[in-house]
Amino acid sequence: MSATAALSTVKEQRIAEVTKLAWLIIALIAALLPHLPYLPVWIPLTGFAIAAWRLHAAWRGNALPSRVARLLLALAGFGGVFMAFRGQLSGLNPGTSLLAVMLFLKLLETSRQRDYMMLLMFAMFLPLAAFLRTQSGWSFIYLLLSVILLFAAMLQAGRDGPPLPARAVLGQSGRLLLQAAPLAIVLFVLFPRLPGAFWTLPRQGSTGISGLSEEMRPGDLSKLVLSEETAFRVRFESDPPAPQFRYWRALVLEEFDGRTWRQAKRQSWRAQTGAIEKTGAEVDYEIVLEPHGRDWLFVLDLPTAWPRDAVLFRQLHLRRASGPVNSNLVYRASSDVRARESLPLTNQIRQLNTHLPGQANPRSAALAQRISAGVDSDSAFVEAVLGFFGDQEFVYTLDPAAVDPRNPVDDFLFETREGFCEYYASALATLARAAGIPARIVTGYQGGELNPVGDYYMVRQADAHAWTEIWLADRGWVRIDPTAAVAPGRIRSGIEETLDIGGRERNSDWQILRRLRLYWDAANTNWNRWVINYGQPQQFAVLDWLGFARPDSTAYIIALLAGALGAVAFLALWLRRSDRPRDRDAVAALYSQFCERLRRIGIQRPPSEGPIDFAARAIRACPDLSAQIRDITDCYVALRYGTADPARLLPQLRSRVRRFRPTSRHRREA
Amino acid sequence: MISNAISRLNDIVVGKEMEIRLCLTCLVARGHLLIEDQPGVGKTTLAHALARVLGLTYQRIQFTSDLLPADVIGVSVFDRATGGFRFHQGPVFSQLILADEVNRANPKAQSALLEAMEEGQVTADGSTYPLPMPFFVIATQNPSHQIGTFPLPESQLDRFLMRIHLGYPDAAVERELLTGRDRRDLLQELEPELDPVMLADLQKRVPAIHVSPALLDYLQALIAYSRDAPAFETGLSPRAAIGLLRAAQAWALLDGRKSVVPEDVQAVLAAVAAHRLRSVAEGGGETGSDIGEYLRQAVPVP
Repeated sequence: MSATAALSTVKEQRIAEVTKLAWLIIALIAALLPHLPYLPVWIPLTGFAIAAWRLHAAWRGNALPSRVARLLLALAGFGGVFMAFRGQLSGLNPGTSLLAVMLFLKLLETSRQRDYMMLLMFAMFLPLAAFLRTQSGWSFIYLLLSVILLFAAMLQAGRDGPPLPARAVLGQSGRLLLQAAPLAIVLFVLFPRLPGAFWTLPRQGSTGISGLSEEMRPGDLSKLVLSEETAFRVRFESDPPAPQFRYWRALVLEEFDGRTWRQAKRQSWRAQTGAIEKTGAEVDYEIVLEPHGRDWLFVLDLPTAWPRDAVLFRQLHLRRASGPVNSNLVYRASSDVRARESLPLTNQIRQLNTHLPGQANPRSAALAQRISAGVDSDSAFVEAVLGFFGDQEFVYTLDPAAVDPRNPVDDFLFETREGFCEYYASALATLARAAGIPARIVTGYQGGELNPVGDYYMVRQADAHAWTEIWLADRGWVRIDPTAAVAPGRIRSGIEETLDIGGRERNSDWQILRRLRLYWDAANTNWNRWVINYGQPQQFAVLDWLGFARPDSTAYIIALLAGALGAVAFLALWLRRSDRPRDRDAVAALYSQFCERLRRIGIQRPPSEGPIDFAARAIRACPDLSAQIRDITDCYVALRYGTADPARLLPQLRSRVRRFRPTSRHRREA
Repeated sequence: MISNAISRLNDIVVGKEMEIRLCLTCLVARGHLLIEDQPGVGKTTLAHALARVLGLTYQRIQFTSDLLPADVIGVSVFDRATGGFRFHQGPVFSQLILADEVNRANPKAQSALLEAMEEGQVTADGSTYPLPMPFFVIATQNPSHQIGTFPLPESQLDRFLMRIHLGYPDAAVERELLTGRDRRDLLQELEPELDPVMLADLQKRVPAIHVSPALLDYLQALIAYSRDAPAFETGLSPRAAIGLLRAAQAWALLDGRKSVVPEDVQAVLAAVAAHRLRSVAEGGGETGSDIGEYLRQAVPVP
């Protein structure tokens, strides 16, 4: 073999190896990208360094690190992750960190096809884990692309010859994905589901999720109103109620310390809805709730029917029995917007709802006494206070002047006179309580924008709202919204029209963007409704529709597993059926065992060497073994290339290979 | 019988056992042979010796730039006695032909010979004349970069089953040549070891040599590699694949085996494949055996 030919072989092999490695690394990094914000920063940095070094080593033909070095590195990586998460290794972030570190370290011992395949198999867990982080439609598309890249890297790694061009290999892996799609869809629809969203991992706190909080302080809501995020989407199954009735209640706050409103410490369930007097004008609707990390659900004022796993409390708010909403949740509920609640007020509750802290807001208390003296009923008192808001030039603004934290209500009522809805609600409740009338704060959302594309309403964080409920002896708890008295437009046409948030120009560009946003929102909502939310009830509905009786889930799982096993077994038998491959495979396996034993004493068969040439070379190296080597080779050649009867010769080959135990003592000193 | 023939030939063309085996293999596989080498390394002697040992009728055609097709295949002349044209058979009507320095002739004369090789018959003036059986052409060729040559195009190279190089003898052999008897005398004394009937019998036994699926896998892997590998401009044709199989079978037969082993394929690989492949490496500097060796090492034996 001449020098030029040798060089071109080696060079080609290098190029092939580097190309395969590059595909592997690109696929790995693409799969890791969605996790990057959640990983300690040293992981991607060392990972990329390792990948770059590995590519360099492959190009230069350098040796890979020794077994000891790799072991030490693996321990160091494990320790690093352990330290970074302070010993906590369970959970999504530590889990993906550990996976990422080990995948990058695995690059250091990846040279054979088997290593490539194993690395890529494990890398498949990265997109899966990314799906635990977010389940939006965009990320799903990205994850599909990342899986296509992993497939492509697998195809490249599986090739014996030179790598394929990128277009061919990407096309092929795309086709593979498409071919797998029908099976995936069938499994998605039919695979037994556990009740509830079982892939939802507990989140680390609720950082980054905006939404209502459990308390209300002046200024809380105005911060929220600047958020463009959607809180939830509603599809009405009958005519939607008029805008002034679209109050979505979430929490009822009854404890007040002069500044902050909180939930009552004692929470009691409410057994029945009997105390709600329906008027017969109920609306049914379906809500697609964005994850907000809390356990309360939103319903239209006042609810008459709600999901089974939610609990209604005395104050008429709903909490979810199965814990915080950490992934998209779809639920149905019914409400009667004109219903009245007529549960009697116990002394204890009356006390809670008329309590005011002693020292705070003395001027408000005085004002309440003054108004109270001039009216003859509680409802007249409320009218008078609303009139006070209307007459005294209160300003409804997102950016009110700061109020004195010791007497915020006094400061607001008599000094600044500008505020957002929580200021008004708080002021009204304070005044009512000062006059001995039970009053409490309700937080939630008000309004919602119609998405004509998907025919549903989007309720944004910007629609966050707070209002007051006053107990009137003859009517029960009555919703009084002081904001409506100050800024009637807020209630009728929404927050954006009233305050022109962000000073947007309503030009045509903005309209197109808005339209696009509506389309995107509709697509995402359908994704959430039909794909993410597909759970056990939906699966049973599909099975019902397909004409199957609702299956017993154990029997269902057994039947499905039996079917899958049967299909795999059939496929395996069918693939085995050609040309007695078992005999041939046994022959090849025995022969490679023979070669392996010779390799251990330093006589290696290059893949391109034929058995007879190899035997001749081996006999030259170990003349003592010549008879054995010759017998085995003859047997093998007769079986594999000749017309020998496997039934007769195969056992002979097997016993000869079994007896063949060369040691380095057999080697003739060179 | 075959081994006798080989040892006789070895006495004449010393130190070239591998090449002699390849020649016989080519003959038994019913292929034609191209020998490419410098003048004076024993091409003619080898061809002549082959004809003697095998008991074949032998003709030598010296190709020159003014050679006409009629000089190869024959010509019709007017016969005064019968009053018609009579075909005078050219030198091609012979069992073994040495087409010497075939690349010195113009393409017209070359193609006359190559057509005869392909068809096994000669057509002149509307009549078809069958060539004798067996019909075996040994063409020799000077290295194509020499002055005054018409290199054979790829399509015509493909018609030769094998191309071999003889190469210079090594020192010991050269000494024997210098001190030994004249080769021409030795040739005269050479007795036939085979006859055309025996040769035809051997040729018939070639396709019956057993070829296992594992061997076909290997052969196809070689062919596929030659087509995929970026090192070659073009891959091996299906004709080359058939040729490779037949040559390997013939090699196994000459070795006294009943089935083909990978070593048989490897033995004939360079001779069968090299002249049909062109390396993309600049200058095409590799000799045939380099390309064959590259291909052999690139494909694992299953």
